[in-house]
Amino acid sequence: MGVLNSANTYFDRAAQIMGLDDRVKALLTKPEREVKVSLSIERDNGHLATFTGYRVQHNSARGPMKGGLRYHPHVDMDEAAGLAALMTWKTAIVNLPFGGAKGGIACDPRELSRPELERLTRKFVEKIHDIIGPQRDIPAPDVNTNAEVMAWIMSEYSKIHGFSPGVVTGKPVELHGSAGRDEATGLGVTLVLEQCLADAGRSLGDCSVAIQGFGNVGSHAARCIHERGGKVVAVSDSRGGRVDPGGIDVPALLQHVRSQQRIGTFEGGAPCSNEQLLTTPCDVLIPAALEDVFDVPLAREVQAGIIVEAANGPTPPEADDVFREHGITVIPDILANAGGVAVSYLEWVQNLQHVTWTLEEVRENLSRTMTSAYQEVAHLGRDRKLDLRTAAFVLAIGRVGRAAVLQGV
Amino acid sequence: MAQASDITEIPPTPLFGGLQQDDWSELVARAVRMELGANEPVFLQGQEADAFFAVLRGSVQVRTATPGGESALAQLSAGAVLGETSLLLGGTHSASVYTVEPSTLLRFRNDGLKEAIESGNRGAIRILYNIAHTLAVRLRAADAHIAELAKGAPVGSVVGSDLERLRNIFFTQWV
Repeated sequence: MGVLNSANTYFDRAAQIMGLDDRVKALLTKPEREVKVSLSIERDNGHLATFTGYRVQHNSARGPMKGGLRYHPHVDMDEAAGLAALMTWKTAIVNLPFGGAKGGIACDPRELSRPELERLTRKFVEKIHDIIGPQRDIPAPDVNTNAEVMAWIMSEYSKIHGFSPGVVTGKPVELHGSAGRDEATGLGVTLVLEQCLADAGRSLGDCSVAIQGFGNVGSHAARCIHERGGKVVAVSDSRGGRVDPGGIDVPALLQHVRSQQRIGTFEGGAPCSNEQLLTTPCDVLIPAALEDVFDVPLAREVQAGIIVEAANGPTPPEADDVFREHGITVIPDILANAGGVAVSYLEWVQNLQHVTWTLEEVRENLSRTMTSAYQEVAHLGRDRKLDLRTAAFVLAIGRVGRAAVLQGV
Repeated sequence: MAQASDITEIPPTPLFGGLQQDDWSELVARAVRMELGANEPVFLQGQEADAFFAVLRGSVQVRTATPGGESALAQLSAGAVLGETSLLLGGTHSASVYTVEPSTLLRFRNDGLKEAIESGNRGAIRILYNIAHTLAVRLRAADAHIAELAKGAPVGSVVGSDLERLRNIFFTQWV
């Protein structure tokens, strides 16, 4: 179904419950601005090549707009617009003073050299510098972009507007980036899970956890859960995984993956497929890899009592219905993986104030943000008899709606 | 046969906002569950308005008699409430309501609810408050509409109504 279709369904569900009609929905869903630019650069071989860049600014009612910049052949205006709207809801759920944006360049970065990527990035900034900025729109890394790309953007933007580290987040720590950004999403996932367990009178110490995906998010989540007393019983990457009901030695696994780049060759536990991981007996299941990992038959086999959506869009609406029927608590992606943008916000604040916070300060701040966001969503859910996903959307739509109305729309 | 008391989940509609679970259980015990097929009447224009209805599943159409037959005024889906002003005013229904598809509704008799209000039933009083609130919001919107009309603005260009409704949704119902 895809992340965007699923998110639209969930948005519509919340909008219907709130009694929003099509006119109000248009106010909340139409992007404020869509920009498309042509980017011509000279390739290393002397040929000219022209690419298309996009930036969609969805809603600025709550503050400057925030969202990633991706380099991928499938980038287009529709995708950017849908993802920009999701950023508006995500920043509102965790109560950051941001709106949502998204963009990118339609290109295959594997076919471009590093100098070509740098020229393309700088050309993009040249074309959109007047619509981005620390008080307007703050891009961040996304698919196929990284801290180095952010450094190029900051450099190019600063040539025009003066020193402006706050124009992007996700920069290298050596260049005004923030401590704690790498682990932010994985730690955020752990923090909301802890809150969810605490509400049920439980703690990580009495939980078994299975994690699908061992990239940046999955591996940091595994580490954080292990450090806080949780038992990680299964992990996988795209090529398969390991399952051990007695608990996987997470530090050893992290070391193994650092050297071998794969989980399958790890010696602890027994091998398992990705599908087996999703249905393995455990208290908590964390899909941290792909969208649409659950279809209805698979959803019926899930044995976990809690699902924490670390990945974007792992649960299509029909699987979500199954989880609700089975009484499985789903902490939705739009809340669970908001730790990344929350630390982006902290990076932006440090840049604006010209200060540098320690890792402990960033973690403490992130903990406050995620804990409070979970509690607000859960409280609304209990109060209005809504599942966490619907409650999260209702909370976000309400916050954006109030900000818009207070400004006279 | 399905009973109204089988409906344990409080419908997510403003009329039932703020109700607690035990309030709901008491109220729903006084209600009648209606399972209707497509295009069946819920009530007819001119009939005595002695009850109000909550649509739990499916959708209904509000129709009014015109010289040329019946014309549809609105289509409402799950979450909608019909005839709630009759609790205060009684009288007769000003329009007919038919199901569009197989639908489930709850029917609350006005005299039963009035009795509950008089005996201090917390859930019934909450519903009364919610109805009063909705009517107050509608009155305020109507006042704004009238004020715009009085200024000579063309009908259809009224700015107050949508914004008033938004304020009500975002600052009252869903704070």
